[in-house]
Amino acid sequence: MPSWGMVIDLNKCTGCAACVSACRSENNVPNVGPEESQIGRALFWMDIVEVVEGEYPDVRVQYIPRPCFHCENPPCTKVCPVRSTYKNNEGLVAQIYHRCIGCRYCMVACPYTVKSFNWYEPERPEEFLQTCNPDVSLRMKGVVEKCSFCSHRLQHAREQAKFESRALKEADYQPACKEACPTSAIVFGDFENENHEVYRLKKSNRAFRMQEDLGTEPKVVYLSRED
Amino acid sequence: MNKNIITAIVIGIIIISGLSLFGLSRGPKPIIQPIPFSHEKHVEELDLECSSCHTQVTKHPRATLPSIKICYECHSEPMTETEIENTLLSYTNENREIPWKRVYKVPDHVYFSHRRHVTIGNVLCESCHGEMGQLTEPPSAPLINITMDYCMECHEEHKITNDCLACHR
Amino acid sequence: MKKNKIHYITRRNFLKLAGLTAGGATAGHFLFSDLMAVPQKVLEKATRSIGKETWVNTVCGQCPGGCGISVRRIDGIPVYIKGNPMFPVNRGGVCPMAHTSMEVLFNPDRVKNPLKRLGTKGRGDWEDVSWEQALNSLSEKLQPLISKGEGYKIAMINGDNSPLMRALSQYWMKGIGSPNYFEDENLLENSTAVQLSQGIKDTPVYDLANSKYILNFGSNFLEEGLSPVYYQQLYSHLRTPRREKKAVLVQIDSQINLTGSNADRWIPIHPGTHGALSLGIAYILIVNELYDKDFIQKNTFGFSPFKDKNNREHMGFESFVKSNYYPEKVAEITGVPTEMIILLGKEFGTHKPAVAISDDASRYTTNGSFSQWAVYCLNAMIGNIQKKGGIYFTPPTPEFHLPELSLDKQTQKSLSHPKVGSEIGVPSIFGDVTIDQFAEAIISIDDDLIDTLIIVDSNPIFNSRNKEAIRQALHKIKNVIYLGMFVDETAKHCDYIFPVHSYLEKMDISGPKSGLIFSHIGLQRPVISPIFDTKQAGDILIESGKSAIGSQHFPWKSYKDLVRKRLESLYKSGEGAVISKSSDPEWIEYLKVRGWKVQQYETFKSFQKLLVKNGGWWNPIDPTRLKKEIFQTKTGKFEFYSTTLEKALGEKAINVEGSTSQEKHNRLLSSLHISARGDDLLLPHHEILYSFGRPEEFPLLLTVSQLLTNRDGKGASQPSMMEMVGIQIGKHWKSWIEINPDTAREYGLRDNKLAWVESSNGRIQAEVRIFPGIRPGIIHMALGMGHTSYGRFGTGIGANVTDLIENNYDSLSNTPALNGTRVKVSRVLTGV
Repeated sequence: MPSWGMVIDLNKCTGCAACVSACRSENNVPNVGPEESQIGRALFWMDIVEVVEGEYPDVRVQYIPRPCFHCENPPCTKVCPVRSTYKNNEGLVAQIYHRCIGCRYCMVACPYTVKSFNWYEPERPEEFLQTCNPDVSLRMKGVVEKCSFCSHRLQHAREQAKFESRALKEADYQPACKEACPTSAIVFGDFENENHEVYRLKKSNRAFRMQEDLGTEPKVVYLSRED
Repeated sequence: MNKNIITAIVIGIIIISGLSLFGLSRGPKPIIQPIPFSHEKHVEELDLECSSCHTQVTKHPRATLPSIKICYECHSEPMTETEIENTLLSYTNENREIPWKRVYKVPDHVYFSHRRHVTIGNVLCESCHGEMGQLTEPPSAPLINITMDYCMECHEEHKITNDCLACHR
Repeated sequence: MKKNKIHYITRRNFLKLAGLTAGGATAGHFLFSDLMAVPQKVLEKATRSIGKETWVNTVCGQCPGGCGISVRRIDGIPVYIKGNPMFPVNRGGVCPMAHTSMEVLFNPDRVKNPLKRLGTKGRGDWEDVSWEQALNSLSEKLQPLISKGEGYKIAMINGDNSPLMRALSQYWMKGIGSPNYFEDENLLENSTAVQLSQGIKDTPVYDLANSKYILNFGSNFLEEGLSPVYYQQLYSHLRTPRREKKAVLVQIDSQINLTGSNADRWIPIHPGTHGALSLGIAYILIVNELYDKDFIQKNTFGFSPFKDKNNREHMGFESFVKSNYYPEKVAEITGVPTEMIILLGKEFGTHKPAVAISDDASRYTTNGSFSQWAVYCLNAMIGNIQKKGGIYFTPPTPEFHLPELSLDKQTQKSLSHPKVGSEIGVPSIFGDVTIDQFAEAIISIDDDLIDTLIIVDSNPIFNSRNKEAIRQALHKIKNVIYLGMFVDETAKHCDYIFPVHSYLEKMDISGPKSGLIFSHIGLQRPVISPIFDTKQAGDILIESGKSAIGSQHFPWKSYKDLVRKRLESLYKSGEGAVISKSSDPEWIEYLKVRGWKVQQYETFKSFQKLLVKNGGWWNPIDPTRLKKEIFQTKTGKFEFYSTTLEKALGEKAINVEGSTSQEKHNRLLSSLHISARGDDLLLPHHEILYSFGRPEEFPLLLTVSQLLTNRDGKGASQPSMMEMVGIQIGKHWKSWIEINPDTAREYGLRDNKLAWVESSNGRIQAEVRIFPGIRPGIIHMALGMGHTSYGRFGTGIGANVTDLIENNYDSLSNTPALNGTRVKVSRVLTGV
């Protein structure tokens, strides 16, 4: 069984946010507007976290992209009363919107705050509805959503590979954020497959995971900056 | 405290049963096609394959409803003198698409692919669509009510994954 | 955006209850699917017919960068954009703005058909007219003027960055007999430093991928500039672990921007003193003999003392720097400690290859040219011009000429009129007449100087610091025709709006002429047929040119035809090749290696077909050019002592009032706010920043930058861009003021609270962001916010910082001095 994971090289990542924009376009992530974003209701599957270290003039600033970490041991799935969020056998932490009752326990449980709540209907100007990606369903009001590692692309890629009677290749299944990254800082693949680049990268001596002491075992591995 | 929960449950049950009754009694609207197309004539009599008209069924996620061009391939000249064909010819002559109505639909949050089932999985069309080939008139409702249970039972039977993410998106 | 929450909450509570009681059977799911689903009307709009997927290659038009993109269409409707991996500029990467192109295309606030003004100008009432009426009204204006030989009364402001469109606009204006062709500030090239030393108007290309030490004087190359994604690619290459030592990027800037956050070291510097610091570094190179003596001796002029033809002694750059820019003095000017200057000098002289680059913070100031020139000379000192890891110049693309215009006497005479605005304000040494000089001329002179003004894809009222003058000028000119997509701040004050295609609907040539290490041409092609009743700007020019100037001068059926002619010229040149991936699907390896095979095409048709499919053409051969090509100075060498500037100043001084040439010269220089005289003037030196505001009243300095999510304000039409406008720092749909904690404390400002920023020009309000990555005494803001007319999404979001910026220009090039306006700040007192 594959175990899908991501490596983000902070050496190369500039924080340009192309990944955020690609993600929003691919996954039909809605905009909430000025008033609602002011009260923290903006939805970001991929977000950017700012880290400022030091005091003037010795300041280091770093912008870190933050998708869902698809933890090996996810705290969010354990609290879901309806199994709307669960980890599947390929290591993807799924969010099934039509099961979700909007209790938001999972949002509280997630130490990385990767989950967002839909406070509104997925409404947008009629003109923009036709440019929604038909591969990803629109989320209704009252459910929780988060980064899916573009699992809909896996559905297609796997089918295409089978259709062509061949094995799934590394390049077949890549999420939108990786595709957009202008510096190739994001690498995606199967952590169990030694032919995939992530397999090698996650063993780098620069590799670390967020808040490792929590024991969540995120499957998004960061490579720290070299100094 | 206890009382509250009980009241909540009772109210819940009442509302649910009320709504389900409402839902059931309402039922889906019957589907009326613009042309009373006979599958039987094409499939049984003329021995056509499903994919002769639903051209994308083996290679694409969507099977597609036939476009007017496909009708025209055979009906460029009148083949019979029936009124039905005359209606069809009024479309072909003007190169106008026939506004066929979809009978089988899956919800938007479900990914269903024909080629995955038909080509990769060798599932027969009849397994989900019923004996469409024997209908002399278009069905007003799906012959088989495709529910999630229906999908999952078949998947279980054939040892196909029932992981939510395999179909939901 | 939606408000009806009450209804929702009760329903949701009910559903929770239902979830509890129903016990979670699947039956529940089906029974309640109506209630729990996305609204049916939303679904219907978002659902497709067959769902057929196609991918089309084109070039992004969201900024001048010109990244190759692949557009995913479902049933012919674009839904998603990814980078075109074959395209040499971006190699598959894109910036955030590419993805929201669909929000421009389908924007509900696009102008959907030609509009004619109703009522007084600027009121914003319009009536719909047909294209026939609209175009007729234009040719009715043009024809009488042309036939009277008064073509000079027609003016154009062009902001379209397509090289072909620029050529066509200039050709059109020439045919009409008008010298009054102006270009938007966005199209300015970063070329003055090169011009001063080498006499050519080229933007230098930095071979960052091969550099080991990069001294970056204020360039925000990851976010701004001609092509940020190209530089993102180079940066990535720089950061790919290799066996050799890691390259060092030193950011010299008054604030940490996106580029600064990725640098290895940040040197906080006082705004507008980048030139002084680079001269301090030059001092270190000189006293430690770390410069390239061989290169300087063979290829440069003015480094050592020399005698001119009048036998006058000149001290030369070396002695000038040695006596004027010793580290202690430079430290005082720049605020950079002496030890740091010495360290930077030593590192720059010993790490090879090294490169010094400058843009943005060191460019958009009143002393930008001199600062950038001083920085640029560091490169000559270490001899890295046209060397690996140093500076290159973009090779020219194969030539393409529009037909020769045979103008009659009358038109030639009309063409020889002086450009409107050339006598207003301060003359620029190398720059063209600015749009606001043009506007000032219009309002200050009583005659009808200009009868008809055509504005193409430019929004000067929003971007200018002299908005009122431009607004008044637009009101004074009888016919103002606006070619654009939105009723923006400028369009609002026009008489006609001719709506144009978005870039996803048109055929065009793209690609900046310089700034990249290879020459290339990108092909924009329609990915969807026009969704509204719009036209391509080029077609409007061709159609009106045919009727007003003569169809013999416009032998093209349409603009598409002209694009085809351009491609034909590429084919005939036999140079370069259509971009492509090798037959091996693992194209990455191929792209890593810059070697390539020349491809053969049977016919132009097959060449064109492949080019349209793949999206572009390039010529990646060695960019090294002949010395005589890049050193087009009087001395034929790289000049530390600029004879180009000497000559230009001499020419400009003639027209200045004054009895002696000395007096003329001095008057010219003081009007340009240049303090240096004599030899100092013609050598790279430091000029003091100029601002109207008195330091006692306005103690702080304002600096600005563009964001990748908005650029100069064009992103504001896209709600997704506004939602993530300051995504890195958690700011959405707003402007913010960056300020050092100490300065904030001094003025009683609190984080995330509103504050006023005020200059001698005006005042605006924005949220405070206390940030240690900025020098004390500086206020930093992003450009492009605070639209007053830009559709439902952008209007009224944030504050427009150009309301504060003084209308100053760089003394030599007419580059706007966006940085360095004196301001003050205060808390916004909210009612209790």
